[in-house]
Amino acid sequence: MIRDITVGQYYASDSFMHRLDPRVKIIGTMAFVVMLFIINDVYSYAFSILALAFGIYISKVPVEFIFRGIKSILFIVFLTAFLNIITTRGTHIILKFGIISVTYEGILMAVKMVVRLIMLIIGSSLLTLTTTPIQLTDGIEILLKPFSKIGLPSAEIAMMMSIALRFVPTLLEETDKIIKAQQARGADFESGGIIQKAKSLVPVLVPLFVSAFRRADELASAMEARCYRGGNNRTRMNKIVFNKNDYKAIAAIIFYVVVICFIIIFV
Amino acid sequence: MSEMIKTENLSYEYSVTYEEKNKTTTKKVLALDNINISIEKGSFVAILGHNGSGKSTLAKHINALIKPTSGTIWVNGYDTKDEKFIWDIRQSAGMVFQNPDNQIVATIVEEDVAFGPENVGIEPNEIKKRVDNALNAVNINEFRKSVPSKLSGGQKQRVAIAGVLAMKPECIVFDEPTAMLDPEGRRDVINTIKKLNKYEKITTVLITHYMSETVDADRIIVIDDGHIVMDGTPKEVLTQVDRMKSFGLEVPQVTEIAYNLRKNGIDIKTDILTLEEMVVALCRLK
Amino acid sequence: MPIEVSHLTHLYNKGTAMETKALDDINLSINDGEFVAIIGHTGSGKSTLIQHLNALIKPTSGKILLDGEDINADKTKLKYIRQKIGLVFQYPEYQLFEITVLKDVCYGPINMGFSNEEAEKAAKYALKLVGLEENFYDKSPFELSGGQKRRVAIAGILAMKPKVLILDEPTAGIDPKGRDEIFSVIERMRSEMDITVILVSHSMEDVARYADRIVVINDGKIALMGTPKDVFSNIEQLESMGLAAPQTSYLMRELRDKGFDVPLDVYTVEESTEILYNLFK
Repeated sequence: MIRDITVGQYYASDSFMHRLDPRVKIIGTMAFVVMLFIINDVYSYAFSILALAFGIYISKVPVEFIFRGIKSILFIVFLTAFLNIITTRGTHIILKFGIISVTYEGILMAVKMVVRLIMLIIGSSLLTLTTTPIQLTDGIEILLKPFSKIGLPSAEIAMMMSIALRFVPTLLEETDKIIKAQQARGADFESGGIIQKAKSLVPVLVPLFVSAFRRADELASAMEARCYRGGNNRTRMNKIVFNKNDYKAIAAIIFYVVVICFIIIFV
Repeated sequence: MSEMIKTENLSYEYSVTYEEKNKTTTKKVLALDNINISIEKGSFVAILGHNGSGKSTLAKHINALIKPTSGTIWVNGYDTKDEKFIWDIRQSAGMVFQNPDNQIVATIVEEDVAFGPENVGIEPNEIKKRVDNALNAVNINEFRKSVPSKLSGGQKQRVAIAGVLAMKPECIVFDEPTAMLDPEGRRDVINTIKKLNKYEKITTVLITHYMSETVDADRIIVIDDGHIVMDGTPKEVLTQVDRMKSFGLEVPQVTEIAYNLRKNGIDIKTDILTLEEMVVALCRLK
Repeated sequence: MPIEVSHLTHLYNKGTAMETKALDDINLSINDGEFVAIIGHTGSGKSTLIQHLNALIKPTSGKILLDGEDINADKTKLKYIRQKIGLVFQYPEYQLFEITVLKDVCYGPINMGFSNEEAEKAAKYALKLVGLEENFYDKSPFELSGGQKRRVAIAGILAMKPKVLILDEPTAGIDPKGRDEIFSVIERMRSEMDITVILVSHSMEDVARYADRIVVINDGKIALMGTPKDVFSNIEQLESMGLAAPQTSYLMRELRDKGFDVPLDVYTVEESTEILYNLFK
């Protein structure tokens, strides 16, 4: 179950999407996320879904792999839908329980939110699935570079993110192991109320923290031993270079943004 | 031959704080006590000792990850206390650690191998060349685009070795590189280490508690309780069965059998380390 | 409490493109008081098998019977099963979490429904069995040495008073002295607690010395099973599976090739010394 989380994982392949400049992908993802906040009507939703489907297609990441990532956050999706249904006021009342009323507007809102949320997750996981953390952080580092003039340690931020991503699978695997080890000692993570459940997590969280700190300590030694000394003066094996495909991708992103804006303004 | 590593009265002390019966106590621990060794360039030296004997502390000194409390250690002629030379030291003496998961920085094998050279500002084309050579030297080229978490323990450890090799070090310190591996991974890693020493002429310091990995070393140093207690060729060290056992270590099974036979009055020579030597010695008895 | 594994098959990622058969029709029975060793290279399926015995993984098909009862039949009995069949994971010291050693060892028994006094009594007994005396009770588990931590973790399982104890590579990453200590703990609990032991190990010397029976797993199947003598007489087959026989049996083979009249099923230094002594005295 815990291994199904695909957000933050990298899917090794050699697709068009994989080969793009990470900066293009970051900007594209950001543009997509911003558009998700302003889309409102059926046409803009439909076009966004289409754009996302096209993105998945050219990434060559198996669809089932992407959707497995959503399974793990279904709870949040349902919670969002539920909250939207019961909190949205409207005129077309469908059902009524005491002070809570389910309205047509509420259901519509819930559907929109769920679709948005799922697109948001798929869109951002598409970025990490097709970009190695090192490329990703290199991209972020370059994009943040202008801010280093005002004291932002862009190289260090990028390195921290890269390491965090590198350890996601390791720590997930570790969590799985610790959960099983404590289950073998009779731990019960399912029954009991919320407080009981929270308490039952202590035997998992403490070993996990201890292990994360131990790993961090060892990793720091290993990095120091390999002459890591902060971001300045580092060179890169793979220099990021803009090529023809990147211009095509930029054109596609601009096309998407323009179409969405057009729909919102004129339809 | 010149010296790769030399220590003079090297000692290292640290303090541990612990709570007992609501009282905080601080205790000083002398992890290394007056160590004097010199290791020649190109040699293969194994350092044996049980857990907590101080052998890993010594290893970390070679890479300037820790500095002596007193005494001096020179690596490739540089005093590790001199901050000026710290990057020269770390480039000339690389280090491979015990846990393969905790020393891989990048998410793609070849990017991880490039991490060291990138840190010291090598040009991209030169880095590519070095990464190619390093991956080939440890025979892991086919996995260059793989995700490290999908590799086996032995393969991960070879990636870590390649990462060090790409820095073009003269010396590599291996700090229990096989402790967490299965027999197959252990064999792979040890063969890689031996190959690098033999063909790439890399000075090798192998820290381990698996005696079987030390049989082919040029020299074995045994550390116990922060002291050097034995120092010599494998034949000189491993055949002292009782002493080795008193330090919580093992000797090869055939060595122990020969030793036992001799103790029971059978006229067999005792400097036997391998199965072949044992068979030859026993045939001579007939 | 005999364990009976019948037609156990397990598929990972069932129904997807990544479907793999981790276990394939395993049939195995383990008798009371037996010391069974499971060997096989990494990825052979042995870890999957032992996790089934503890009901941590459910079979895709087939059954595991404890005392004749299917361990996966009744979910409410899960705790009972995990109490009776203790499982010590690889690197078990990474599961320690409590403030003191004694509290940590009490965690299992309390989960199993022991009263506080019973749990503490069981914990103290288990700690004594693993060789940790009273002065360790109030220490933090995190300030112990590696070998001590591991023994605390083993005590954490023993304190639940299991009838069967499964140990997954209990000596991994531990020095020879620590390894000997762990094996003397296993011997002690076998004689004192009358416990069945299932040991997963990579050390042929260890399994040859201690086990009554060896199960060799390869590619999710039982490839060989029998006494150490039976199993290690198939050296070629073991080698083809990436395994080996104890070093001394290779010595005996070489000697026999040279015309000496020695038995081949010799697995310990002591035995070899005795045989060679009688031959050459």
